[in-house]
Amino acid sequence: MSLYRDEILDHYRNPSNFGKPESFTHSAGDVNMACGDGQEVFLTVRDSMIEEAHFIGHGCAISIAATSLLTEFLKGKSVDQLKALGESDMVTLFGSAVTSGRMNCAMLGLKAMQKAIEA
Amino acid sequence: MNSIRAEFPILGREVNGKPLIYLDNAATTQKPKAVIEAEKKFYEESNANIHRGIHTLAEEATALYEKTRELTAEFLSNREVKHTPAFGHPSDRGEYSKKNPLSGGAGVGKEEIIFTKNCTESINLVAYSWAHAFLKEGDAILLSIMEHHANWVPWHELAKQYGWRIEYVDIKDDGTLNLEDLKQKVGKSVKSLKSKIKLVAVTHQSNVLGTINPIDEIIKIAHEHKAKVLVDAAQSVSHIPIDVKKLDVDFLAFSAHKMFGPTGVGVLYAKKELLHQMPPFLMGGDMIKSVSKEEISWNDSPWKFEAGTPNTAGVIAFGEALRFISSLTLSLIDEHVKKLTAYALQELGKIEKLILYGLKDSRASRGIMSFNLAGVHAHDVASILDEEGIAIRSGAHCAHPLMKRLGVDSTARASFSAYNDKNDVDRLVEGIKKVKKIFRV
Repeated sequence: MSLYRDEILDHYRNPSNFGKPESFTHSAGDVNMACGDGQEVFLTVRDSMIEEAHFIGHGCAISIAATSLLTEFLKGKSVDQLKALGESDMVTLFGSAVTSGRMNCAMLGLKAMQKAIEA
Repeated sequence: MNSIRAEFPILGREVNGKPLIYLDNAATTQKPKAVIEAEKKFYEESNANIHRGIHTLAEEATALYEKTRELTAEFLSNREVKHTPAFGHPSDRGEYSKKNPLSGGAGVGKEEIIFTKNCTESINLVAYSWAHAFLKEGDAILLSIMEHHANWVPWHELAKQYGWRIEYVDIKDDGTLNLEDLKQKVGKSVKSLKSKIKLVAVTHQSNVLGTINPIDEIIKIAHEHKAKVLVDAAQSVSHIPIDVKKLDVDFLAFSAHKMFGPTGVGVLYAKKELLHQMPPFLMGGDMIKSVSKEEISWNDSPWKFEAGTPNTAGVIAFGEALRFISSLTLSLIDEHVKKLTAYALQELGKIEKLILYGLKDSRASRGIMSFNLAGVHAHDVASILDEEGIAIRSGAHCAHPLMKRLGVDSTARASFSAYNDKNDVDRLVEGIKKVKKIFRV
């Protein structure tokens, strides 16, 4: 299945939860120095549960779509669940194979979110 | 050039159900059957360690390895590399014992060819061996802003350790080297002893822009001001004939794998006078004459710089690559690449929103084209092209300073070799149009 099918491109053109929220409890940024893609993520955590997840940033379609999918997935999940997420989970969210060359793109937002909750 | 596609087995494969269109030759070139067979044959018939054995296999292996050194010397003297096969030819065996390895003459001497792992290691050899021994604190090295990290990082790191200064020569907006800037910087060092440029390290051809630098002029300017020159010829050796003696270059480095040879083999050419003075780089076996608790004496060049067991099979296969590329004639390959680049510039130039970087003139810049599609990340372009079986490169191309100078984070890059043709360019153009459709740009 193509990585660039309509639903993924939709997430790139109209990413979910895109924009800096008025209030948040955790935030962090990450930049992929190799290509210049960068994102900042904002989480609202209460009682170890993720109530809200937002992000801003620029970059390739994979990195934007990945984080958009991730913010939708995380609402209502626990902090522990976020900490446990890895590459294979991002592949599951995408619903199609992500080549190893693009894994950094797919992981950009997740890495930032995991950085945010460590802080 | 069209018939040579049949010589490259990999060009027959499919990628994602589509015929492979390989346009990433600046990263590495594909290998002809002859080169693959040569490596296989060595392991099947003549494998032994070199330089130390007395038995027949060791003699055969040594003769084959040293034969490649001789062929490399001929290649860099811009002489035809002879077509006799690597194996089975009576004169290939025992040749090493009969001929004086320190041959002089008008061309390159065998003692001036050192085998390394790759171009990067060749440059590191010059940095750690020559520069470390002969540059003093306060001496300066001139680099261009378009250098690959291999010809940037070693100089910067050692400069930090030993107190050398790094100066830069800029590019003009069309991606060509600013020769006036270079003249000024090298010249000014004569007046002020504080910042004397002792080495100019420059690429022959940019791996991002395809720009070909006038190294003959650069060498003249540098030598007028008593600076040495190192040329990174990684991208140019595969299509531009080089005569290192005519150029009078001090050091020249390149990799075998970018000119149809195997990976794991690099070459450093250096003038013998320099090699005689230089201390070794890596140390161990084979680069010594004698070893005791009190004293160690070094072997002569080139073996002084080849410690331990080399990539013997790779070097032998590289000899086959030299024969192969010579049989195609470098200048004909260059003509082919020039025509293909002109065609690509023409066709890509028709695509709206496609930004081409560098000089759009195949006479001074060819074979390598960096571009971006406005509104689409280079990685996305590359991934979608990959779905069509097309291999290009995207990213920073190990040239972060150049990316910064161009004002971009990344570019897509297509690069041609002798086996590419107009059909490859047409598929590339179709692929880019598909990207435009998917991203609605």
